[in-house]
Amino acid sequence: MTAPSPGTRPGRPARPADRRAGRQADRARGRSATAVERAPGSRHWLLIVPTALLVLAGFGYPVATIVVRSVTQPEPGLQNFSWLLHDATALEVLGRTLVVAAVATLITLVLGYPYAYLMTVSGPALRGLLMLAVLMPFWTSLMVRVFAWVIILQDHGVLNTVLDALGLGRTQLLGTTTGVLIGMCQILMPFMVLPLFNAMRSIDRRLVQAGMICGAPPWKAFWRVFVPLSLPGVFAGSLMVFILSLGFYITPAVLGSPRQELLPNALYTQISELLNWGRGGALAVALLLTAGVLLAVTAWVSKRVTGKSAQVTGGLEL
Amino acid sequence: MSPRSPHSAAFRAARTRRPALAGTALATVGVLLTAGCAQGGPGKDADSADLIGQPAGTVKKDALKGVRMTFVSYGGGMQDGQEGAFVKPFAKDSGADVLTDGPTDPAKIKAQVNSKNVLWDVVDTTPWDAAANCETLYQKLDYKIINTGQLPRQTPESPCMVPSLIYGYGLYYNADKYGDNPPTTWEDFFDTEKFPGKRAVDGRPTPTPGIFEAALLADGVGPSKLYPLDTKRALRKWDDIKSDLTYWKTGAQQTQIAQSGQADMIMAWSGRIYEANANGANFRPVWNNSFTLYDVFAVPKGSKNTKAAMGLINYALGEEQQTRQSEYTSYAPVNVNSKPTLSPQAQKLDPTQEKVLNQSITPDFTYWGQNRDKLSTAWTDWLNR
Repeated sequence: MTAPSPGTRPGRPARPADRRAGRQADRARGRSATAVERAPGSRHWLLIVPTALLVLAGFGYPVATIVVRSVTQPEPGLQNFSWLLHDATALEVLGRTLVVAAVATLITLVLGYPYAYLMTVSGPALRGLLMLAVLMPFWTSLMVRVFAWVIILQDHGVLNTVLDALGLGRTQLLGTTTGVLIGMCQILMPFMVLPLFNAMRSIDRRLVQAGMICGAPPWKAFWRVFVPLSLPGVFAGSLMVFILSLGFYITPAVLGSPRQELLPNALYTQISELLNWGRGGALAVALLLTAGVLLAVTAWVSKRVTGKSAQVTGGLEL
Repeated sequence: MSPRSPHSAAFRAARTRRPALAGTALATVGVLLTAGCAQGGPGKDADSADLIGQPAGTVKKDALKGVRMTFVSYGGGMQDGQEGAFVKPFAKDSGADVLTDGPTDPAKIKAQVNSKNVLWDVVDTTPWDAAANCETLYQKLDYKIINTGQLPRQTPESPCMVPSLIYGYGLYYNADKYGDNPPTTWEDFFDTEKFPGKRAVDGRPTPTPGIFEAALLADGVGPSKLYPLDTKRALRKWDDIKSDLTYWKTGAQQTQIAQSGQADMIMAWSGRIYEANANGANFRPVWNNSFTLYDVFAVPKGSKNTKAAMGLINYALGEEQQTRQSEYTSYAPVNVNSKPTLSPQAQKLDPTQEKVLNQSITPDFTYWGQNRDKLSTAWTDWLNR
């Protein structure tokens, strides 16, 4: 509640000195308005209490428990991490998980970029249709989608029948990492397309035209003007897809090969089957650290490249 | 009050509303938190005098009135069958209120035992789980209440478990493919020259007992000399046919592999082959040195209804109950007097036939339980190599 500033009282002709005073008053009002919201005794912050408690109880506490268990079970010490670093299979599984996540990110980016571009240049009807196509999987249960892929990918399934009819020969897809990637990319596509679309939609097309007016051929104007402006979307989408890929459990469990185990599945085995909560904790910490480091690196690179901090959602409006 | 401050009126209103808002928020959290803790809440445990010495399959009328307990199994059709066969009749006869939950998950039991908040009273689990965690996660059973007189011979022994059902695990082959010259031993399973074709085996990181045993038997180790398992030797044997292997990860996949012809031989569970054959596959068993496997009943340590749990187990082991369980689930009964009516198809795959029991092996579940880590790591490393 600010007192009215004399400099801005209506009806009084503004003189230079007054205008300056008015600007100062405006600034002061801006500050004081904020100060009102943060005034002692204000209890707006209480509104975040339910969410904060939910996050603490549902995420903070379990994560802390897992970290503690990784260094206390079966006995205090670093034996679980020493196991992780010396067990060839565990390391291979960790490396494979990172590679699969990176490949999934690359595939969704390569497929999603032109798709999102088409969405921004098309008319409302086509855009609606394209949006529907990318969001449709969201409305279907994950299990249904995964089992649909089983039917499509299996040795005598739809895809293999088509490949056979085309004379390309049958190839084993179900129970391979290729099969897992196909299933993952379909599920992850919206997480890439939506941030990309959001970033591209806000790009001023006249900038590309200006580039062409200045003599750049269309491809060059696109590459030098449009692509750099869309980078925040690229970073946001890639980061989200990559981090989600690291945690995929059901898709590799159903579509993958037991010979190509991924980290979440190894983690499940340690925790639920072998009751090795310490080792499971070490694997979980490794996954958490990897995701955290990548998040930090991407945020840094993104800031350097685009001058803005990466928004993980890309300012997503759903 | 500035007329230019567009929020002032709203702020004033908000200010008066604020405590109410915050109060609502806190109350909501409170309700959520208490709701999370309000479940469970057992009544009283039973009086053992009413339960001791009861013949298997019986319970004194209304002996457990006021008791509220929980039975846990693997879910799906199997658990439905068990509930129909003995859980619901037990609740009716004893007066207990029996809740059900599932699927069985040793990690959940460990969490319950560690937090001293045990919600599960009778659990259908694997013998290697119960044997390995005897007296840490599961308690010793009370054989004054549980009558084991009608259990079949060869059943696995551990103070913390009693069998709940029987199934076969072994080599099944596609009779259409091998015709008059079918495989008859584990050696044949590993002989891809004499018996060409894909073989499907357990691809899980924690395999069912039998995976190392089968390879050792094929390599010439006698059934009585299997333990302690020489995993290196067994895995060398598996190396020989690695390029001819495909893997299943669930029971349903066994059925699917047999049915779709993805493999010509499969190391599988009897019930799953029965399902495949019912759907048109033509797979036949090799009983020679096949494995007899069990599920067991166990009682988590710290159960608040220990006596009632023993009473339920004793009831489930009855002749009638086991007959019904077998007819509802296709698993074989653990009561020698049970004579379920089986279709001719099911009879052919019944692992409790005399001729089968005479040539089958019961794996050493205690050994498997105690060496679970080592055996699992060996198999996982081999799979991922």
